[in-house]
Amino acid sequence: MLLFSLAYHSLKNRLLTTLLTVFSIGLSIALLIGVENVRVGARESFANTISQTDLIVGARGGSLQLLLYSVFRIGQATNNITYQTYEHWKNHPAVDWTIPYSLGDSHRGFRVVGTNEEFYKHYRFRRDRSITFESGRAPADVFEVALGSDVAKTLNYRTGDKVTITHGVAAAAGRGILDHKDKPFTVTGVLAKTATPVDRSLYIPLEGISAVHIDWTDGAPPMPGEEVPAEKITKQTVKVDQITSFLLRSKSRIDTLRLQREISTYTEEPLQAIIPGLTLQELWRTIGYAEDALTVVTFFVTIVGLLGMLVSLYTSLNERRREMAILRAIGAGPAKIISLLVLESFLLSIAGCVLGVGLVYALSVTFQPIVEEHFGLYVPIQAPTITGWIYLGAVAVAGLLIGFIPAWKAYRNTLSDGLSVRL
Amino acid sequence: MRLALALLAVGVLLPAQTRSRKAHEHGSAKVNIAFESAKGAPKGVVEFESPADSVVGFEYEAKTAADKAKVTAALNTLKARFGEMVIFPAAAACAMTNKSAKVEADDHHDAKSKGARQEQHSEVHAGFEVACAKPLSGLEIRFGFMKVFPKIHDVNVALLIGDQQLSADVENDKGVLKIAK
Repeated sequence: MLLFSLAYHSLKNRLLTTLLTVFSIGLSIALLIGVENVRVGARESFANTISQTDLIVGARGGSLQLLLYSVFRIGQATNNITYQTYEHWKNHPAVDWTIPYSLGDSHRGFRVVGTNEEFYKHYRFRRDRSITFESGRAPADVFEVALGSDVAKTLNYRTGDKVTITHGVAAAAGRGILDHKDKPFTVTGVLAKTATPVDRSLYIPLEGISAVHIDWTDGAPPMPGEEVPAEKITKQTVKVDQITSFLLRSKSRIDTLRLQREISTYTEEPLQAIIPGLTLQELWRTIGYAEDALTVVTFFVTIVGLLGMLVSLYTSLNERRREMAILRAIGAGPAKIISLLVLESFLLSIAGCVLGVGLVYALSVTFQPIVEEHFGLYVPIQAPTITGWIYLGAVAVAGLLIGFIPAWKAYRNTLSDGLSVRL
Repeated sequence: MRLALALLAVGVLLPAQTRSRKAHEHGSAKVNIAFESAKGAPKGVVEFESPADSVVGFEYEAKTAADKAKVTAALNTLKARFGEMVIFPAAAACAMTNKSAKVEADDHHDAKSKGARQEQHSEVHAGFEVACAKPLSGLEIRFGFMKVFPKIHDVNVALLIGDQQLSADVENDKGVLKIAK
């Protein structure tokens, strides 16, 4: 206890140096834990985007590409699949439900998703959460649209507003191939926040996607006078020919494997069926190297922080020669001197760890909503992960071990200083 | 337009599909495991797929009595020792029953090349049923492919259990699948 009190008062006596050292270690720890939290948060955010979906089916191509454009609205599909094929699998006896997606259009940088009522009924995220409406209802008619929470908030849209969709995926209005100005959609509802890419899309009926292209010929808009007015288009008059991909839930997990094989070998159309969780793990394996590189950088930052502590303790020893000599004079043995310095180093690293974790939580609480809104990344505020605790333990132990270097020097100093007349 | 694009795409890709081949990499194998749930007394299936070379030792069609005997022996080993290759946790008291095991030829006849070269591959496909007496929640599945078939050193394992979708790249028998609680 006496040793602890001595160490505490010694550190307090050099308050500015102590605070700067603790701050330096704290920042390193905050970076180390922060990066770990963001890594875990990113993985959880991605994994939580889609739940209870056994297969994602699309045209044959890359499995990652299919996952990215179907779930995360990143990238483009290379091919579509026919609606006939979709119906074939939808009606398969082993299939519980399906959610069709028709992609390719946008509105002011947000993706437009053509889907049907199955999306609102079956889509699940964060294990078992379903889609709910903050206001209004799901689109029922051809030219009706429901908005993701971020879309409504960013563009300040409300139920009843008119929305024009853009042909192609454009960053802003007018930068796509063409705006479907003659066929505006009416906002019928705004989805409740999900903190997933669902928030950053607009949802129209499958028939809506076909309807805006009903009068197009060979990829070109209609000539003047050949347009089909929106008033003449009803759900019954529009034929859905194709979709981009569909989500599938099988009646049993055991059926999933069989269905995946059957879909992948379907002879009528080249298809691929991916299991989203497995493809996501493939993605993590792919970007794992970048994560490792980031972790290595943060480790080096932490090492720099600890070296700063070593430098601080080591350089302070000259100023503390008298203190050490007095301690020796009043009977403190070499073990006591070494223990004192090691304890000081350990206390500094522990204080740094506490400050670092505190900083991480303070920053998380402050910036969590901003990060979630701008990047769609939900960084959970929770106790450090097992890896986080390992990092903290490693820093505390490293602090303890580093303390032996100045401690040994101090012990050697007290030997020579004890024999010297110059004090 | 979209219809035209789709028809064009389908038209272009259909022949490609009929010509497409499955990846065939010697030394690698694929295992798919599926359970309806990890709770209660889970029942599931395990599928195994590997180039025949890794299991039987060759991929040509077994015509001689000696080759046929080799195939039979290899498949019997696979059936009898699959529990050593996919090791379910002892705590779950799982029993595996073989449902099928066969060598399937995957002939690739390249008619365009001179002399109509024929490239022959074959694969071993096996299916097992698994019945566990106790829950698999919180337990681990381990692997020991190389102990039984030393040529199988890289295995891609997929596990569907309840709503968990897990995978592991098992290299030289190193790798586990941890089932969440």
